[in-house]
Amino acid sequence: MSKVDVAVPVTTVPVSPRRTRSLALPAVATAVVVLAAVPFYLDRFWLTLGLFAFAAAVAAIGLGLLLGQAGQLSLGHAFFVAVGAYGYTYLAGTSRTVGVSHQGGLGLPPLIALVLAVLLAGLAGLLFSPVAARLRGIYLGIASLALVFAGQHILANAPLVTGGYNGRTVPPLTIGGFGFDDGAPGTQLLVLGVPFHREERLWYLGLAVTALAYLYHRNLVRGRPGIALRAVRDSELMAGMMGVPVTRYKGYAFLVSSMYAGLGGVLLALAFGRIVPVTFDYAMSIEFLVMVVLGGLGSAAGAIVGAFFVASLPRLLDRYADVLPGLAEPGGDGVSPAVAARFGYAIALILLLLIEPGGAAGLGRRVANRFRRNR
Amino acid sequence: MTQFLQLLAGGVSLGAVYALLALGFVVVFKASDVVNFGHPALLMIGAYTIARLGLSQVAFPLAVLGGVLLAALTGLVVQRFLVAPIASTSVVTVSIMTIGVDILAQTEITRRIGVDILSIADPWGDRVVRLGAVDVPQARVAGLVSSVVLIGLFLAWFKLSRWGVAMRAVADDAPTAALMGVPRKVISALAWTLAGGLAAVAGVFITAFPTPGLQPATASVALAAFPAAIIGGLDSIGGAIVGGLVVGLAESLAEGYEERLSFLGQGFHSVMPYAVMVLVLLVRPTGLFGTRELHRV
Amino acid sequence: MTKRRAVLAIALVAVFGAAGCSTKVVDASSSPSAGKLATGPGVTDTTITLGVLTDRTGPYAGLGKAVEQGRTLFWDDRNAKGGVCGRKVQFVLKDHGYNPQNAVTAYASIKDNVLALHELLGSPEIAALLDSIQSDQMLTGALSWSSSLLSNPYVVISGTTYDVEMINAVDWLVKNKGLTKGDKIGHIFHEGDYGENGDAGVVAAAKEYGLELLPYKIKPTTADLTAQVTALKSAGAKAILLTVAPAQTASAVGVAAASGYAVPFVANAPSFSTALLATAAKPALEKQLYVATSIAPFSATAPGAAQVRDAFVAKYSDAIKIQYALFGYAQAQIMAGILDTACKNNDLTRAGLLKAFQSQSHVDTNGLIAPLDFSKPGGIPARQTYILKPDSAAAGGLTQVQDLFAAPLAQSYTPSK
Repeated sequence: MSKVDVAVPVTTVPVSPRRTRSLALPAVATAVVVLAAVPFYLDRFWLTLGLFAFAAAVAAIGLGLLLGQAGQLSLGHAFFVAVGAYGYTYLAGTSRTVGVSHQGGLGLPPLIALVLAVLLAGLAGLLFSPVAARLRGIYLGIASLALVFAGQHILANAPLVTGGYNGRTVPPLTIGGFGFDDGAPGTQLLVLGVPFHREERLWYLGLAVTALAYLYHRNLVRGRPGIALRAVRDSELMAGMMGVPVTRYKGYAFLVSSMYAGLGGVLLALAFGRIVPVTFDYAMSIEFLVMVVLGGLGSAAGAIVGAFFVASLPRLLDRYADVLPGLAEPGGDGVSPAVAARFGYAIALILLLLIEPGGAAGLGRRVANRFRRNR
Repeated sequence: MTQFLQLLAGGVSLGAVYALLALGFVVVFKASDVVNFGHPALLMIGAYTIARLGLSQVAFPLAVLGGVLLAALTGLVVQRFLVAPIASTSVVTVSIMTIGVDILAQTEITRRIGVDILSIADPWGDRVVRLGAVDVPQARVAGLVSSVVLIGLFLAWFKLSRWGVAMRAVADDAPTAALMGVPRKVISALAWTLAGGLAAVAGVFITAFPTPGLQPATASVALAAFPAAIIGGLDSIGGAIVGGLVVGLAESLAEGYEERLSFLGQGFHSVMPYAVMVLVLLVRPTGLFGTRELHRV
Repeated sequence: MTKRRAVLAIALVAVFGAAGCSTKVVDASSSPSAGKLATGPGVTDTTITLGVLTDRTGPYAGLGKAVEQGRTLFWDDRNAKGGVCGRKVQFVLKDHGYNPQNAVTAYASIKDNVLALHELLGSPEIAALLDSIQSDQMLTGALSWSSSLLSNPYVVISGTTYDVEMINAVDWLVKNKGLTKGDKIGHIFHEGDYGENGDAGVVAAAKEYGLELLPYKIKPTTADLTAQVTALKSAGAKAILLTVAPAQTASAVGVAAASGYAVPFVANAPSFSTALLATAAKPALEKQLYVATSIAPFSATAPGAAQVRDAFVAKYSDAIKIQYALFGYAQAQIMAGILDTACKNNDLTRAGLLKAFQSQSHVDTNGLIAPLDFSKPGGIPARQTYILKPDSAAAGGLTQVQDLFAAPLAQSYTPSK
């Protein structure tokens, strides 16, 4: 009646003799190498795009875990992302008065603030899990939506922590003495002759964090927790009978996925440089859901692909508006690049799901299967 | 006291319109297990058509008919070409796809409305009805009456007619219903069509007085259908109606008594429906009238 | 396995080795620009490029379009006359759709190619970019009149800020609509920068004139203001101030009129839109609403405004006529003045623009906007306000009821917490 049916990929855990090893890991490894070279060639537009995509990817992996592996529908992901972003900003920020806005901050070392922010997001997820345990399916989904609205309300009404509507500046991350910002004025960091500003440095952080997030997810999914989560997803009754502590694993799923969300939130905050409450709204939660389904439920690589697609498309269309036919001038009548981007993204979503409900991961599997058969 | 009665009247009349929205949402869910994130789009399509027809001097009843038909048709098209083909795989996937439909429809309508505010050209205008010490806009009274009539008709049809029984069968136990010869696809199509029509009617009253007309932000009002449907219980028709009323009242009272609620932060009234929803869910995890699932391990 | 590793190693070497050929490599021998004129990014020998970050697809698309038309009107004319410093001024335009995240990406993509931002629309977007604007020394023509932005010296606010507008509005109500000490007034405003800035002004004014304030904060998406107006009516408020969106203004005034609550409403400029006069709320608006703004109405009779208006109508005959078109022209005038001063100082760098901006102590836009003074960093640039009235017979939908004036409190007011 209200059970959430989840598209179960046929080979969630590829049990493979050597010849038919999953293609996901080598593909991701190649991608990492290519991506590592990007800051040497591409300009700030691409780097900023990438930073937002990495942040989205990490959070999307978390939602994929919750929805794909544990079968818990959550529309509240934006809330946990906000906890991570604002948590880091408050913990690492210093008390100051900007104009008429008084802001508090604990001034902790940024790396500590990052870890604490992620833990805080996880804690929030853990606190929500008893509610999640009581609810099922769409009821859980819409109850988690309440988190987003409550979050928006809190963000707006706690200016001491959040800076209110004007938002607040995000302190740059420093690890050891190395700052992920433009460096001291007048200095320049040159790597192989290329100046490394804030975006170039953050790029590697984003890449590393995303790669680690992917690997951790992979281990989790293949290991015991993954099996337990999938058992809970497929049938709570059966799982309970087999001795899986259902409520505990539901809590665990929320804990881990919220921590992913929090980490994505910190990356997002660092990418932005300044966060405003209106970013973490219903539309953001929906975007994450779209990313995960587009990528294919249950697949971390798919979640990353979905995240990159959703985060990039509007900006790409906007950037190349003048070379794409049929797009009106900004200010003119007709279809502007932003509108076209929205059409494109929506149509892509509909078409992809019609062709392959398993999302990008499903397409990937089809391709891989074809490879294997042709050998 | 007058203020309370005024807010009560406002809340009930608004709630009746929310009930129409929630009803459409729940009907689709019962018949096809899909969460229709595109419900706001159906509302916008209906309301936009009616407004444009009204601006072209088409008589109001005909304009409403036009809007209802177009929105119903949209629902049907979505079901036939987008939902039915992949409904067998995963309802979550289908639900996500309705997000795509929603974005598509709303982007286009926003583009067409632009900066205008389109009047829905209803015959009630800004006239008010005085009931004792309370003023209620005529448009809202009309909304309440239309809501009651439509819901009444729907309930009668649902309980008594063949198709209504068929829909209940599908909602209860789809495989068995299929075995008994109930065509699930047809029922699903019927549900989506109905949802479109109901959303269009709701759209009329949401854009009539006391709001000045249709604009892109109107779509966010349709989001109230979600907590309303949940409060009532997603698979309960009667629940949808109760849920709509509860949401309407909660919003109206929270708005009017804002100074007294200021300790909860300003602007709390927009969170109120969700707060009520969470409270209800804590006591009844499947809504007030939803079917309770028993889990015994 | 070894073969795979070897392939990977070769690939890595190739990719990073080739990095040396990348276009991003800094050339140690880059030469400074020739001549006496110091130039910054976006300045060549023949052009000056300025950025525009606006809303073309979101809720303020209409406003953005009108401002653009005014801007184009000015600069087409000016470029034909030689431009600035012998260079043509051209624009890079990006649409952020009223989404701060898009604004951040768009800004990042254009910031190295422009000398300044001619226009940045939207309080949330400006808020998201405040720190970048500061660290990039990017002079920015803000399309927002919130005094909370004044803490950033690079933000150019072209007009009176919302708080001062509200102070003037209350003053006008006291002097013209019979408000006295002890009376109650209501203020319905948006959560957020815009509304809260208006609120700061109303609070200060209420204190000054001994009025009791009943505030109501609403969301930008609230469609129906019946509850708030009902509450104010029961409380006996004698006037209501509005810092909201146009549809909400129509709702509030319409509800009041329908229930016989004939109090005056005074709203900040963004709370009104000409489109409202095509709705059923028109009679109520014409009867009870007033608008406080420092921008001249489209129907203004001052010679400067009339000239711009005629030129606008000649060029854009089907465009909707609203005061923001005049504003766009005026803002362009202000930016041109800053550029001209910078050119005279032989300093067309970002720092030079800031100096030029802060040296403008009396900017006269021929009556399009109240007189402006930018010479006090962090200070409110203009203090005067018009009071206008909706009138469907007038071009642009607004006629003047009160010429530019500034209440005593408006003159002395400084924003504080």
